[in-house]
Amino acid sequence: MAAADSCDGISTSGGGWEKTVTLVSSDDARFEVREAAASLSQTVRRMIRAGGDGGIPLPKVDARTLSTVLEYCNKHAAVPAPAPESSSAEAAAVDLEWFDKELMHVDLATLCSLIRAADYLEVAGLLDLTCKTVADMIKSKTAEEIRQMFGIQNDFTPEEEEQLSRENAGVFE
Amino acid sequence: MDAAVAVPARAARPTSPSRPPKTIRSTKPRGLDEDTAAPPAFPKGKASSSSAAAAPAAALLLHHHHADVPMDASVWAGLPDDLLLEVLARVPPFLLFRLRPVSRRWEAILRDPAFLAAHAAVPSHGPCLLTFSRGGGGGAHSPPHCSVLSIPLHARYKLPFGFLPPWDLWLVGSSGGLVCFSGFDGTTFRTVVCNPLTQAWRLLPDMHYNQQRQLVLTVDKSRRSFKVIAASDVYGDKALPTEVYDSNENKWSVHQMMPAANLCSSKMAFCDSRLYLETLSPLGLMMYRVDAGRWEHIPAKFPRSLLDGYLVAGARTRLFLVGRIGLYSTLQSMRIWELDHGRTVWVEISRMPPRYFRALLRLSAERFECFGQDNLICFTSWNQGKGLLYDVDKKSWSWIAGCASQLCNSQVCFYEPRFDTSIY
Repeated sequence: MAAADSCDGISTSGGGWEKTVTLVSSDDARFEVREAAASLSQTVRRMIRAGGDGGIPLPKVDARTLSTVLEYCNKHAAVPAPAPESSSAEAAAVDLEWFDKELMHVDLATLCSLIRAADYLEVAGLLDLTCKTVADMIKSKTAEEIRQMFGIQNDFTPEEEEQLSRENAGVFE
Repeated sequence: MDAAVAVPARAARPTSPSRPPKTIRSTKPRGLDEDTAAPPAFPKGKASSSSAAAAPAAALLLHHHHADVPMDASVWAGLPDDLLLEVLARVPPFLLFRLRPVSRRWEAILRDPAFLAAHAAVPSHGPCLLTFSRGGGGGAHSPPHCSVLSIPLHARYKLPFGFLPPWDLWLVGSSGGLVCFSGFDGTTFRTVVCNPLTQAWRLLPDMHYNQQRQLVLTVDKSRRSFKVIAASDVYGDKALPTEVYDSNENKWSVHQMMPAANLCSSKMAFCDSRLYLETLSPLGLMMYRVDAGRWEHIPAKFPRSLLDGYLVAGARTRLFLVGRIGLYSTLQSMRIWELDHGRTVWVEISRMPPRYFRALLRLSAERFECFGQDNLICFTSWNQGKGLLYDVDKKSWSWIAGCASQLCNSQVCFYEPRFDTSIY
């Protein structure tokens, strides 16, 4: 019980102590996480099944990115299966939406690492959330603004650009 | 526990890294923005506190703050194509056209068939209203044009329309990303189905009884096909056998004639592979089962004192009746009923609040139009530049601007923009 006593952050709401796993980031930071939360990552779930001790190595994710991913997993794993039409389920959904919005309040470079991490770890919900966030940034911008924002070189020749803008003229303005 | 972890204090501390992560130069730790970038009007102490109420407010205020910081080119360039594709698949379809000129890489991704697959996999854009204007009658003849009002984006987009033949077309309706038009090419009655986003279109063969008829389009995604159903002729005074077009066979098949019925209106509603029409004699509904190719009568009595009513298809099997009720012109109200399929009775599910009713129909005898899709019901009336939207699930009413029914030459229907629906 000594180990459990020191883990004051671990929820016991499910009844009894929950199982935890240790994840190791690319820069050797160790994260102790509830198994239910870590299992939101299909990659981790497979590794848990495969077994092994000394923590699960995640060589493609740094500690800073991993801590955000785990923040997402912890929050989303804590939400019970929604009972439709109940007011508490609705409140939980609103709370989760706020949580997601706030979690996505990061710069583009961080978002980019989160997309890669969510893809590598196979956290479907987070991949959707991060891609949607970037898509929302893109949607109201012109091609030039997007190039500036993402540091993209315009590699079209002036003729090709002319051709493209002619093709798109009058479409969806 | 270490206080230097980059997890905001408000979150229950879930993780326990054994040492704090290194600080990363080019990016700020999360949570820092909330403190430093909050506008002065926002009390600093409150913004940084862990109070649940303050956190969402701060997030709202700062929502667009980060988007304008240019990023290191290498970070973005390092994102693999399949992930860039995931991002682009989540951009609303109408806005994708302006992304093509960004770079060769983006252009190639947007043309990749894998992009269509990714686009199909993400949740749909949300409901849109498609307005079709036949062009100016009278002296100044303007060509027909189409526009789409995106309800989630609150924006209107012009839809290119020049790809269809220059016939005298009417909007029939839309289903699963496809749009159906019918009209005359000068000599014969024509039916055309197209996807306005890809500009692919198909001219349907002639019906066996090829004349102006009431049509309904329905897309079946699982069968990768669409059907067009032709009921009676457009004025409802000639009995014709029902015909069904199947895109897989590319032909019309002739089915049972609708049993003699005195129709209330030629407006039809289609849901759950069934077509519904209101009839006065026999009283109730005529229902056509597409899979069985058979008409049936449903003896559902109309609500008392119903003045006029539209059948509106909801999600899955839901069928609504929307209409005005009242004995005197001053005591009218607009109500929505749902058909209880088991007991064949109409059950009232909602009433339009009086203030909306008065704003929609300023004169009691005014005509209104009503159409729906997926539990959204849209009301328009003569000479109103706006429409009224009712969400059956959320039970909410809202005005939508620019849902034009002010011209007798324009028609409106719900439309779901989809790149991935081919004309099969």
